[in-house]
Amino acid sequence: MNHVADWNPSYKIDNHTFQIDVSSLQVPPSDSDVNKIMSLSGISGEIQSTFMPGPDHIRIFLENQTLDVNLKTGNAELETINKRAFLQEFNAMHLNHPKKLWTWMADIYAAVLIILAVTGLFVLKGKKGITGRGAWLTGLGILIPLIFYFIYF
Amino acid sequence: MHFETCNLVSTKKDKTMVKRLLLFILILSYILADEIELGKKLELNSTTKVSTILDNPEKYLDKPVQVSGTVVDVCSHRGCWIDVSSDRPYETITVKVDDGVIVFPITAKGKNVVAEGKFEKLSLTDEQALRFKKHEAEEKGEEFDEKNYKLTEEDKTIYRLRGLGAVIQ
Repeated sequence: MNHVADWNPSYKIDNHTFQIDVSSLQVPPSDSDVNKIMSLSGISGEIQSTFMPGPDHIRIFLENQTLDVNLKTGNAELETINKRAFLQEFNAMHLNHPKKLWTWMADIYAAVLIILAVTGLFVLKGKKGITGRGAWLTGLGILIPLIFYFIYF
Repeated sequence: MHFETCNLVSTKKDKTMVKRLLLFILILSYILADEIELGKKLELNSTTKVSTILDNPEKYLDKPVQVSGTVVDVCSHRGCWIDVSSDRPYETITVKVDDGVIVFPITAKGKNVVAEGKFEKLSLTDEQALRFKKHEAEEKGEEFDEKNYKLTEEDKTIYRLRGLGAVIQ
C-alpha cells in the first residue's frame, strides 16, 4: 500500500491491443453489433454493461475485463484484471472493504494487539526487562516515529 | 480398545471443527459476497440525475448530492476516483475521494454505483490545468503531449463530486 503511486497492490492489470474489422457495424452499435464485436475480438463471457465515451467509441464491460473499441478505426484494447494472490485479500481486509461484522472483528483484533504489546513489556524480568535494556528499546520504538512525525508535519 | 476410544473422540472433535469451519466460511462468504459499501453510509433519500447537475452546476455547488450510474473508469493506482456514467450519452461525472479514505477497487468497472458527496468546482490556472491534464493522462496510462496541448476553458473549470460514501452493486 505504501507504493500505490507506482503500482496497484491488489490487482495486476494487463492491456492487449489489436485490430478488428468494423466495416459491418452500425454506429451507434445495436445489441447484436455488441455481440459481433465480442466474437470479432475472440472474447466470450457475460456482458455486464456497455458505455459510449464518445460517438465512435464503445466500452464493453465483462467480469474483470474491459474492451475498448474505436468504431471508426477498429483499434481495440482489452484490459484484463487479475487478483494478486494473497495481497488482494489482505488489502481488502486491511481497508475494511467488507465492513459489517469485519469492522468489529478488526477492532477486537486491534485491542488484543494493544494488550499483547503492553503486557509484552513486562514479560522479561531483570537487566533485559523493562527496567533495563527493554526501557531503551521501548524508548527507541516511541522516538523513531516521533522523529518522522516532526520531520513531515 | 484405548486407541479406539481415542479415535472416536478425535472423530467427534474433527466433526465439531468441520462444523465450526463451515460456519466461519458461511459468515465470511456473507460478508464478502454482498455489495461493497465504501466510506460513510449513504444518507440522502434520492439520487439526482447527472445531466441535471451538469446542466446547472452552480445550483448544486457545495451541496450534498447522490448520483447513480455505471462505473466506467477507476483510478488504476490509488483507487482515488471513479467516473460514473450519466443518463445522457457520452457524459460522465467524476467522484473524487481523499487518498486512502476510500479506495475504489478496479474491479468496480462496469458495475452499478450509488455515490454520495459534496459537489465542488475547481478553478485552475493555465499551469495547474496543464498539470492536471498530464496527471490525468498518466493515471489512465495515456500519452500526453504537454507542449502542443491547447487548453480550453472547460479544462480550467472542473466540476466533480467530492465523494464521502458509495455502494457498489
